[in-house]
Amino acid sequence: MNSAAGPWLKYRGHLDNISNNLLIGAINSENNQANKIFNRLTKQYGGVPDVARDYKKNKISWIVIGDENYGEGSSREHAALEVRHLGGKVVLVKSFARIHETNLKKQGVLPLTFNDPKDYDKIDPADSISIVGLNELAPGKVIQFSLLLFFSFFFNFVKKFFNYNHYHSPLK
Amino acid sequence: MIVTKPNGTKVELTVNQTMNAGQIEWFKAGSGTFYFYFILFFLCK
Repeated sequence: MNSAAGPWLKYRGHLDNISNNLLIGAINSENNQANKIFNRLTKQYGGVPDVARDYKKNKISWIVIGDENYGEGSSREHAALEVRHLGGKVVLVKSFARIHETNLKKQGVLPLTFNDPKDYDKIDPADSISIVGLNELAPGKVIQFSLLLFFSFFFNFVKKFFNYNHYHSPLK
Repeated sequence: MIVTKPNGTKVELTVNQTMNAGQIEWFKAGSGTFYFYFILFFLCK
């Protein structure tokens, strides 16, 4: 179909369909490929939206680990909504693009930044992440053990770089 | 935040958040719709 929107035209309509665009242009640091992440349930590689859906279906929460300026070019509210819709709870990055960080807050997704950006390299895609202590969340407070919502989670997580334009990067 | 490696080793990391008091209330309620019911609950109490 010829359209000015090009290959992105199909990601429209209702949220569930739009969510098929979740992080599909982000590069997975594990294999330097876009839209190819390891599903720890099926032990197979799959697209980001597919793996996220599978985790959600199996009630496994996940987080995004990102690099600098995460969310640049993703100022649409749907960029944050997609994460929430497919079961993402936290986005932990070196730094945020301002509007996307605000949108994550609006949608109830917890945006966090590394206190020491070098800690980014201490996390690998095969790790599990536990965040405990969020009841003590306070403005400006540094979180050492933070609790998510009212219970603690173990997160499978998707580690990826996100220094690209989420909605307009070329599809492979 | 605690990172658990596949071999069971645990790594503790410190992370920052930038939410203000109102945003934290919003987050704890679970965002929009839940926040509405949260307020409604206390109004009806």
